[in-house]
Amino acid sequence: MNAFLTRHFFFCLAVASFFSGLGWTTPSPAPAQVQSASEMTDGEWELVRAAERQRLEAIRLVEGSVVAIYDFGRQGGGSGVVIDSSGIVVTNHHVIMGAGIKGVAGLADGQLYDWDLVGTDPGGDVAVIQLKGKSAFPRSRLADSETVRVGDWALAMGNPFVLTEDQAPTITLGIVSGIKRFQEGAGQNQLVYGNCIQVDSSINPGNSGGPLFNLSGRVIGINGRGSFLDRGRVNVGLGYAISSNQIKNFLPDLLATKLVEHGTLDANFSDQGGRVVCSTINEVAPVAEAGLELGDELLEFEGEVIGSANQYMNLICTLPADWPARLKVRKADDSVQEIVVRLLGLPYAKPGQPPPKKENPKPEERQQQELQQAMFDLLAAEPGTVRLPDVNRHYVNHYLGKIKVWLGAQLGEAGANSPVLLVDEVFRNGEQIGRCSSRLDPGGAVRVTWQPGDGEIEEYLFDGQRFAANRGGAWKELSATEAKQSPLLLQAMALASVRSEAPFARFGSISLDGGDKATGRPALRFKCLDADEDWFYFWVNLYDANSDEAEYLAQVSADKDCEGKGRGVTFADWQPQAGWMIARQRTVIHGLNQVAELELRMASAEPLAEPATDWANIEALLEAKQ
Amino acid sequence: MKKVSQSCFWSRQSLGRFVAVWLAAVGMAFSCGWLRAQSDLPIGNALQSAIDYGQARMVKVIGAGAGRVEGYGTGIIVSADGQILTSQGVFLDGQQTRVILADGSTQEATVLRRDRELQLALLKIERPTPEYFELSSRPVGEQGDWVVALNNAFKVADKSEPVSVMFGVIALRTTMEARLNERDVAYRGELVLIDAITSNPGAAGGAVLTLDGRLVGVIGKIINSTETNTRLNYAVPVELVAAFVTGKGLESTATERTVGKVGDLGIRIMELGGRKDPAYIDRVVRGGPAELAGLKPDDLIVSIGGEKIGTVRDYLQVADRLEAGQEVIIVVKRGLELLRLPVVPAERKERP
Repeated sequence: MNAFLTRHFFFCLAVASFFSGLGWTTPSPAPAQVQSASEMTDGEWELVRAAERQRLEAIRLVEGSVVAIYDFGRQGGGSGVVIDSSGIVVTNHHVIMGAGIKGVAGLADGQLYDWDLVGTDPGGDVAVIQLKGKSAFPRSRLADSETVRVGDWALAMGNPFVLTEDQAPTITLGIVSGIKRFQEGAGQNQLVYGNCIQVDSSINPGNSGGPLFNLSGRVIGINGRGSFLDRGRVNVGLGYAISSNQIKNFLPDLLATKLVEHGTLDANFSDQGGRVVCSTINEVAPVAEAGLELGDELLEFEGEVIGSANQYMNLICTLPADWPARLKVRKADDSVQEIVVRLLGLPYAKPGQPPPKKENPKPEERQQQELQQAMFDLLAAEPGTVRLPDVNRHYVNHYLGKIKVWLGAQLGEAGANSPVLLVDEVFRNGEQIGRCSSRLDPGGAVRVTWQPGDGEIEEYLFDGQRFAANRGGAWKELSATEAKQSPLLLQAMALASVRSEAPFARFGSISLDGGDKATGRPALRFKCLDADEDWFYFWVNLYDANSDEAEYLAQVSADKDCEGKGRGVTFADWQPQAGWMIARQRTVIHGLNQVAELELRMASAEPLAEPATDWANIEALLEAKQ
Repeated sequence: MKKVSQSCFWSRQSLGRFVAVWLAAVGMAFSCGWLRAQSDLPIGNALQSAIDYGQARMVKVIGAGAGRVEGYGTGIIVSADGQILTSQGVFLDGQQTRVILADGSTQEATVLRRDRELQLALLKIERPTPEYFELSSRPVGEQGDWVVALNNAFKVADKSEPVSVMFGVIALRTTMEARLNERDVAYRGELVLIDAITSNPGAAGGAVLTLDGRLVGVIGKIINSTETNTRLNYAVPVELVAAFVTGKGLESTATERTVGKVGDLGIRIMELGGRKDPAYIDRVVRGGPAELAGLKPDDLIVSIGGEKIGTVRDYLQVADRLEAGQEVIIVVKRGLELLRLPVVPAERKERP
């Protein structure tokens, strides 16, 4: 590509736009499916008017969530969108590169709010900032960008050319011109747009970071760049938006306050005679150790059938480092192998010299210097690590709070404050092998009875503090480490724990560890670290299968990859049951490829009369042993 | 899938390693009022089906690039036996021209013929192409009609990836006479102006379709105003395309083309490299209109036909609009004298 074409600038032009509405078509010379105005029936006109009203309504509903982002000096501007009413804003990495690690933001209410940078992804040009100064901000929801079709209407909103005086966004309408586009990056692995959405909605300097909406008012992408050639930096009809699904993949890592890297297999694929074949591979890469070899044909990646090397490239560009990627390959002997590995990180070039410091800076220079230094520190940070523990903790509390809100909302008046007896049928390879009954207390205590079809009864107990097991007739105290290795105890504890005052607090101090995949969808992965430096993980999905927001527990495990002695439990089909929210289907899994070992299917859930003090008295049970 | 695009943050001041520029310009945009791709609306289905219909008949043309001239373009299939219409350009003059069909397969193409005026070229591939655009010998689409423009601007789409789709309306059918100089656009008949942005590298040869899938015309080559840095978004009308493809010329029922003969003054202007230089006469052609009227080398042209001539560029623009046989008054400054001289332009010969 010519060098002059690949320049990256971050700056500006001002353009006044004249909006000129155009009416319906005039009669066409030939018969047409599309009728002219005079041929339209009243019913059709009403449809048109309804669509018009819907568009105006969509704009009215979402424009409050569009953010004009400035640096403190208001020397430049970009855009963003609030995606959580607590003030979480998604924007572009290159916007915060221009604006710094803090600044001010304008909303359509005309007010300015301070913001702080939370996390950034230079590779995919996504950043998250936190607005401050209000308890509930208007917000928009992320759509499932896989449903976007070429020809769909697309509303771009933002602050092109920093036009807005009252902070209300500029709105431009166009159509989706292309999907699954690839726009190459700049520098070392930076600003790559993979699987992005191309629109003819006007995208101009200042639109960066702003939302692209469908006409249901859902965010399908974040506008970030356009095809600018030699005509100055103005819209030429080709704008590109980072897909909302890519943003969902990166959101957890960004909220964890990381400098996020993109993922790589450390292997490349190329098109060879209609097949997509592994053409280079690092022999010590995890994927090589997992079995991928030169010449293997890539059949599927992340569940998508692969038809070209470009398609694979597009897909992997939307995944962060550490993502558990799933491949299906055909080997030379024609056998098909499935491989799951966590992706390695694609490194960024470290910034060179720290910004120079003046001896006696003026106050405004000092502020500028501090911001430059902070930006330098950000880009020099170790990728993938939590940079700001306090901010990280804030999001832990925020999302644990949201789980409770979700539970409360689902249960409503039906929410009971009494224990429940949950009975599950347990299956292995589709065959029932026993029953498992779990007593759950809202205080967090649980007692699990495992009744195999052909073996001795086992019992597990957690009183909210300590663990015990009864295998073979006598109760014995378990260490936390031992308890975490029992998936049956784990599944019950997790169900009770999300209901309790401080979910999972028993396992130590909780941090947002980053992004991951759980139950096949992007998830927040939380890590609990106890006083013995022993860890425990739980995963929370932010979106359900329909891409609607629903913060709920997706998975728990003593091991990040559910490897070794640790087993994982996944949770599905959450339903209100006897005043509780119960995942009616729980699966005990093993390994990164999540091999299902046991399946628990709910048979019944009944309110339990006996209080936890009766059945969860660990002292009494342990004494009874003696 | 190598692409060209840049980020859209706006700033006046640099932070870190990024440099900022602050420019200002005034632009104009038309946009279209309303609607939603909703399945119960006739428009939503029509938009989708027009796009689907069009995509199957689009091709990407890969030729030879040279310097800043892009080596690619867009084309449309116009017959069942592999005839492909694209825009004429030097990218077709390389050793090999390849055509990528919608299914991603690549075919070598030969150039059947070209039209200098319309800036179109007809290619041929050795493969049947059962899905092709019907070329109407009559104009399709009127002012205000919605259109979709399919094109591979900036070579955004590669291999089997579908080309870009822009949406707009037919803004105007008009001639370009007296609007731009001949160097930019030789063709003086009617063009279809659209408000979708199509004047981009590689877009020429793309299809402009009504929402019921009829070809309105073919996206023309970039016409750029050097003064405003704006570009014209237009299509060469389908009836002209049809005439070119069939080689029969225009049907009489098609638009009447009242193109006057372009005038020639028989003047060679002094060009020192800059287009803003004053318009001094360098030479006059022996026996040409200028010499007959008494114009001489080193005369400074002040006005032609009442239009002020300040620069070489002004001269070139005005001279391109002269009609053969129509007398004009040329005012020149010779020494300290101003002279008014009537000149009758001769007929301009085709430039080599």
